[in-house]
Amino acid sequence: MGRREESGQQPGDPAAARPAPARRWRPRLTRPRRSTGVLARRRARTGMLLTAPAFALVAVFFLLPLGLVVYMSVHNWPLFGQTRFIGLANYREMLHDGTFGHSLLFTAKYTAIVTPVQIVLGYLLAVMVRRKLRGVGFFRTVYFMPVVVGFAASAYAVLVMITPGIGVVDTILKALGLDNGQTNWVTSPGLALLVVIVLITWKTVGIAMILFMAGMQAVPEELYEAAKVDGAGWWAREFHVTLPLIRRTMALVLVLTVAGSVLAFDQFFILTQGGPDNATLTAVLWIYTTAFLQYRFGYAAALSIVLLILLVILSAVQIRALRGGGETD
Amino acid sequence: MQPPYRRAAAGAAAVLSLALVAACSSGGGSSPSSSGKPTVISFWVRVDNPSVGLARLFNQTHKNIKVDATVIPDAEYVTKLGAAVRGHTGPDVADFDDINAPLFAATHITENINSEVNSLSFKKYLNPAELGLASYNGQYYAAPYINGSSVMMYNKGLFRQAGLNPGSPPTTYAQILTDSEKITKLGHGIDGFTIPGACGGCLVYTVWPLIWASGGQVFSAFGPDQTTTYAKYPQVAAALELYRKLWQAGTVASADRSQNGSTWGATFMSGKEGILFGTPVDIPVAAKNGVDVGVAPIPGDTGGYSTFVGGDELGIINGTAHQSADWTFIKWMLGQQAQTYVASAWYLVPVRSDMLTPSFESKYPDVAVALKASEVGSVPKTVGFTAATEDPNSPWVTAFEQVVFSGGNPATVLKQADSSSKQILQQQYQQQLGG
Repeated sequence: MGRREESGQQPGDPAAARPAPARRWRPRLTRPRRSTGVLARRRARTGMLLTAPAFALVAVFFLLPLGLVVYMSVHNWPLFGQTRFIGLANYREMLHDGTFGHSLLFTAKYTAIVTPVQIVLGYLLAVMVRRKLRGVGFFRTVYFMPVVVGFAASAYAVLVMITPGIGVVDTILKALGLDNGQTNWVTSPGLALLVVIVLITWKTVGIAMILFMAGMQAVPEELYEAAKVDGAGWWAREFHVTLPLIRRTMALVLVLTVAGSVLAFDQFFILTQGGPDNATLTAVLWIYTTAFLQYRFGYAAALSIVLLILLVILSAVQIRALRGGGETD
Repeated sequence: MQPPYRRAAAGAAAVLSLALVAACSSGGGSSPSSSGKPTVISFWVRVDNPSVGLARLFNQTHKNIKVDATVIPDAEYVTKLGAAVRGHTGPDVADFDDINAPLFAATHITENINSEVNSLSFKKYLNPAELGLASYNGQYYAAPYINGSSVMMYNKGLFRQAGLNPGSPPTTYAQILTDSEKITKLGHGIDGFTIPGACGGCLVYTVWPLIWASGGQVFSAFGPDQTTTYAKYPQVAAALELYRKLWQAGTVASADRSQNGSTWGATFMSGKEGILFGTPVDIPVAAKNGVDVGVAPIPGDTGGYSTFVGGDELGIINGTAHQSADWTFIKWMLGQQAQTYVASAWYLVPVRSDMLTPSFESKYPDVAVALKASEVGSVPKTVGFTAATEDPNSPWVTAFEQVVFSGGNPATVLKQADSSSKQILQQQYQQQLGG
């Protein structure tokens, strides 16, 4: 174990009986020594060759297009006709683009609402399905199934369901007497956002649940038993045993959820098309508009690069904040 | 770097360069003709129109030219064409939405066919609005092919039930309002009128004829200083007020407010709506559902009529290797046989007014109404049509929604729409035409 080597203790050492003092994170003092013999070099070469296909895939399908997008972003790139190098003019224009700023704000607001909902709900579901009860496998499947339904298909199904007058939602509301059955869900910004949040939560909470489940399974049962012996209730057990030990899983779920929300496009494109009057316009939807409705590919490329940088910074901040989970004191 | 890393880097570089070479080699394009074998022309067509059937007819009667039609969905058409032309894999001939003709002409994506068009014996009968779209700097870069003019369709059965005369459809705004209200009173989920509320393209197609028939204009002249004239002409506000009254009187289904075009006309075709402004191509489907459809031109405020001359044009794409074969095909598509097929098989409208003979009128009375109306119809000539009017969050759609559904003040809303449109149009001219 890393910690033991660091402090120079050996198994069976009486010093191990002392509780280890609380430590801040600091870099490891010992490094694993790299061998430099022929065998090691050959192993390294085999490793490189085995990873070369994956690297090639990443290079061709990600790095190369990324380079092309950066190239496009410094050009005036119309649909037809000559492309023209214009330096950072697209980026300068972006600074004055009110619609882009507005879409970033809306995306941030959407992310801020959806992320805690998904994490809390996913966590609770994982708590429910991690117990070894009979039939729990069925519930695991049911909660995870929405994840594998196609995004576009489920969005279109929801679109039909919320159509005023003929959709199932309004019919039920009318039958319950809550409504006149004619509520148009996508023409009011608040209702449209609610519909999208419900859809996305239903669709992706299964992933959070599965990931949390996997993280929780690494927590030793003895810790829970020890906590119970000490008189800890359910909430205390979750807060003091589970949560600290699944920090890395939490980081993963957080990064995935935030990235997915920042890049939200499908559900808004199908349900609201960014309306009414740009009220539900996300960043990616605006990029789509500038590229495929205004045919301004250079400008859209610049917006994409800026969004990418923002997302990378955001992810780095999250990972750093939740660093060191699993075996930390 | 240690040796294993250097070798891996070299290996990766080799794979990368292989991939680059594969990606850069161009594919596609039309096959060259050799003596004896027919010339193959690649032909891109829009969805849901006569082009595929016509290409087949052409191939049957022409043994030395073979047309290979590919259907491209409308939403991706222009972008795909742009990408294909850039990669030198574009088609030889393209059938495209006529509102894109000015953009293609100004960027020379379609070739100059001025002398060919002028040599047509029936050139003076070609729809003037569509010809106007195809011309740039006084030269023709495309040829009108299908006339998709908008008309008013109404359910004669519902008219009769509501006590209205099915032989006299509304000819003024006031009549549209009263007729729609009477039909809505029939109840049972029947609506008097239809509004494709969130579909910019559907709205310009159905609302702008009302404005033109009343003497108003919506766009200024083609060019980098182009702007919309929504606030300048009171007819625009008047048309929006009519729609607002129709909406507030409850003559329109509430689902219409978010209608984005995908199910536009479905309710009329199933017999539950009184009046639909749209394209005659919907009529056979409605008739099959037992709806007795009447057709009339779209009226103005106090009379007169107009139409939005939508439709398709044909162009020879720059870079083709078969100019003469391409033009032979296009000329045939404008001929009597093909244009009759457009009407008989598809209920779409021919682009030639000389086809409006008494026998044509008796065989296809509904199409004849649209053809007659299209003689005085209009269509805006601009390179920024999609960005300024079809985008769901464009100034046009926003202004329509604000006035009609949210009760906004037309004066302020339209002025704002004009200034936003001007900005977008300026950007479009600058971006697409250079400068």
